[in-house]
Amino acid sequence: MRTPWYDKIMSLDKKILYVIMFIVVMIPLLAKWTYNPAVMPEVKDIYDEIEGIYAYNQSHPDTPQGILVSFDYSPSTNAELDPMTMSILRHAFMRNIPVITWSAFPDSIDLAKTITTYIAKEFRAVYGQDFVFMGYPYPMNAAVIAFGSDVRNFLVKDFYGNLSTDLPLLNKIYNYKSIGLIVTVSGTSYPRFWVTYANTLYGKKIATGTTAVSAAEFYPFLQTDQMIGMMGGLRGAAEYEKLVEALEITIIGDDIERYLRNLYSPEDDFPWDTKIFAPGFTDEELREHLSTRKTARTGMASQASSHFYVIVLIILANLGYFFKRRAENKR
Amino acid sequence: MLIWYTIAVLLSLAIFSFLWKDNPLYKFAEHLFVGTMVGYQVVVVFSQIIMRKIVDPISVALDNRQILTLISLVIATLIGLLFLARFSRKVEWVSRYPISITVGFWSGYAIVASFKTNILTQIRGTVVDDLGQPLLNGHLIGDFFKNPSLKTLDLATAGPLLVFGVIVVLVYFFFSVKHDHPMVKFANKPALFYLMIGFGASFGYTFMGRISLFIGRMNFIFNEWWPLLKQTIGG
Repeated sequence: MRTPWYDKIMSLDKKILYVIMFIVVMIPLLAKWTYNPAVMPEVKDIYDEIEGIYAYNQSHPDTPQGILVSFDYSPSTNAELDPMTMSILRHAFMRNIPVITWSAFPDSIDLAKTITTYIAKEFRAVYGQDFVFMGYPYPMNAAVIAFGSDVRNFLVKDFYGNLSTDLPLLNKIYNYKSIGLIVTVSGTSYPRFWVTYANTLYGKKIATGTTAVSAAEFYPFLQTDQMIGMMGGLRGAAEYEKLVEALEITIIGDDIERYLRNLYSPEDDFPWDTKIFAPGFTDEELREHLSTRKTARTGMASQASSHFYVIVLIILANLGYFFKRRAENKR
Repeated sequence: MLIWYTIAVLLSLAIFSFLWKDNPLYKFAEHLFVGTMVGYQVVVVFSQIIMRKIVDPISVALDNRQILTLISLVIATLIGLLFLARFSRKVEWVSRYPISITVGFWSGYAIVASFKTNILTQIRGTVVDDLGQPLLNGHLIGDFFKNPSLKTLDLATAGPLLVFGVIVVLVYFFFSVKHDHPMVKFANKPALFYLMIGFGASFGYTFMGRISLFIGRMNFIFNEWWPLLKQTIGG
């Protein structure tokens, strides 16, 4: 007897589904399709907040506000979260906003250091003046509390072994009074922790970039204004990427490649600390710096096609289930 | 660089091979990952905690002759070392002192903040919106009837739907009353509806997250490793 179509659907081998999923994801990725997302209010709010800090710093050059970017994720979620930290840092450096970064996990120290310096290099940011990397501020809850008074007492040295009191940036920005925004990019429940301590106890504004898996957990904090904004998953990253690209075009222009190529010249006599980054870009590095400007949007094209594939699978499976039950009832 | 990238690609493929079935390649990659992570963390803990949190502050305090800071750092370090007493059955009890200090301090510090963050402010968010207007706002409903549009409908219904949802879901999980009580019976269906929407949103996001990880790996293989390989081979 011939197997009915619904039985075939219901007993489809998982391996076939995986292979089709692979193809569905790969086509947009290889064709380099990009997705143009509509920017959601919760993402735009983060952008506006950073623009607000920029405006404040323009009118108060002697008492600037900085942002604290906390890398609260490990490499296992970097596919979703790296584009967020990159976009936030690009925005901050483009607007000359002082940046403090640190990593909440021991296994993400290298990741946090690499991304911070990678983006700083694109804007000729000087270590110690424009940005600092504080390493792994263990234990995190003590570090968050230490920021309430003077973080330099808790983090005596930065990641590179410089005394905190020797870093010009930390002499201006060493407690919450001079932090305009805390951005926690996380694949865990760390944003809740930041809200509990930095927002509830010190009234600091918190923005989060989170993996899609955790996003639903944090919406209640948006509704109560305990968080000012959220980038949820790759989609949130793509939205912020789009906003930063528009700003980059306004400030730098269309030709980012040319801008990066001419950023450092051999006659540059600025004392670059090569321990932090070496000035100049090789062709390979240039290609990478350009491609990271649309990582999330390229990924979202694959994401959209995989969603479409899963919707089709859900409809087919439900139809199969429905017809199978109907056939059984008839019998 | 190509060598490291190639190793990363091979390990990624070894992990993905689990989708076919469990195999020695997958096991090898898994064990390698766990071993590398442990080794890496040991080094990081030494350089970022022992050195930065004990050795550096003590040496700075010594250099600056900050006696009080030095004393407090040494006392704190000694109390912290008492944790290690757990390794000996004879003096294990000593480790309860640092544990009691830690638990005592953090309980005191966290209780008020957690209560305010997760309960008080959230309850407030169920009563008023971020502008301080009540969520059950008759004016907004009136505005909808005066000027019916999607926007006014959204403004008029968002608050009441949220309040209603919170109440019925709370009633659904209220197990002190039998579920054949008329109030509970009334709340059951809409509560399930709200819960299903919540689970659906979570599932959608979870799926998106998992696919993002896969896309990230594929992006690495085809847009980073492959061009690098072509460039290296092609000179």
